[in-house]
Amino acid sequence: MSHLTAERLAELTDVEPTSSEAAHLATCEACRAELGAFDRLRALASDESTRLAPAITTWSGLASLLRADGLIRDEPATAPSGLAFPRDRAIPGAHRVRWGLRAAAAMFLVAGGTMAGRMSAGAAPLPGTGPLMRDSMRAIASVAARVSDTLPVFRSSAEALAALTVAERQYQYAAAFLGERDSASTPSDDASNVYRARLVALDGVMAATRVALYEAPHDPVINRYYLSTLGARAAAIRQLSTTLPVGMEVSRY
Amino acid sequence: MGTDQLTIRRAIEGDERALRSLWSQHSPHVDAIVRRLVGDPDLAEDIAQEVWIQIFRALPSYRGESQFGTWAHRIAVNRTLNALRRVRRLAKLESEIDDDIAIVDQAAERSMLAATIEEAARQLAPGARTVFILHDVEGYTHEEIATELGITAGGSKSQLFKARAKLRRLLAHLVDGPTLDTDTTHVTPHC
Repeated sequence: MSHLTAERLAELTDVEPTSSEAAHLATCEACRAELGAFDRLRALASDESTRLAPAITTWSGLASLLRADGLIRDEPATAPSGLAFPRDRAIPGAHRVRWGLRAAAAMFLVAGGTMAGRMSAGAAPLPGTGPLMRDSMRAIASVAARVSDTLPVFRSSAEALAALTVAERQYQYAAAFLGERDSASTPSDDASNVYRARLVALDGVMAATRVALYEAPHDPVINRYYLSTLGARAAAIRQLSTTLPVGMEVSRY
Repeated sequence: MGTDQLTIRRAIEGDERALRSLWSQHSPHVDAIVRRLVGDPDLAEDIAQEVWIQIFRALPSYRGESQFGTWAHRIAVNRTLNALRRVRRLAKLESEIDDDIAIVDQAAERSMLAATIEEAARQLAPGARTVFILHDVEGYTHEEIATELGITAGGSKSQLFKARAKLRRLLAHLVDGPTLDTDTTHVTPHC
């Protein structure tokens, strides 16, 4: 039997092969590889729906249209802006605490993953760690060992790369979700400081990834990190704008 | 994403801060679907503005039966497709894809390898991109796509498979499995 056509292989990610096609796939390594590639394409496409990117609308442009359309009612503000979002004032400093906890949790996860990886490779969790640190490492490794039961086994670099893409996008989505819940929907001075601090940190990441790009300009992983950081920076600027008085917007940072 | 009902109520009343809060929370998702469907960045920007105006106009009809983001997303898809029809972007739905898929110059194609699905999809004909994004990215069925685009479910399937075949080549560096001893692309149907 001839190789299956690309379009038929593309279709076979949705439907079962006929008996003759199944027999061919059982013996044809090239067709099986192609079918695997289409499966991975489906996974990438499915993940695309959760990918965040910089907005293509700006509030200043949109607001003028909404005002012309009568959808924005221009009235002088008679109450402090915080009253529209009473949660802002409920627990002074609560945002900072929650962000601190989340940042610590994120650092813990990243550091834990890195160190668990080193330990799994037979290396010390960190060079020169003391007894207290080693206790923490053992706790992380214990958690990692339990979680690792559910981790996938990759058969190729492409599969691992695809999984990395999915994980990266889910991470971005989750971070944006938490960020919006904690800050963007409740504009306040605290949120403004959070966004400014985030922008400073993102600029540091941008500088580092830019240097990495010079070293490996065509590396897809480095490119994705750079583009992700660029997107996160644009989102942070947009969120910072929401904390400014009506009519004002950050144009540069 | 739970959107505060108070924010929605204030937005309906014309409170700019509330409107801006809704836009800020949901623009990454709404703008993303517009950009994916339209492809052309300049046109996408114009259509995204239209979409947001339509979302805010329709706010009084939001009953809270679904998540606000889901509701806004649906409006974004419908409005974007309407806008694309208006600019005749879908007029050549059945014909444009065939020319694209006939390309077998793999060397040239490799030079256009895309970094993301969105970037690769931009290289598809408008109709094929719409079908691919609605089905594989947004999860629409072929029947729903047929209704939205005014084509048959069979036509939707045909375009989808052709689109996938092209995307598979454009994204080879991301989707290829273990390398065989020779190039394994299936641009010819015979051994």
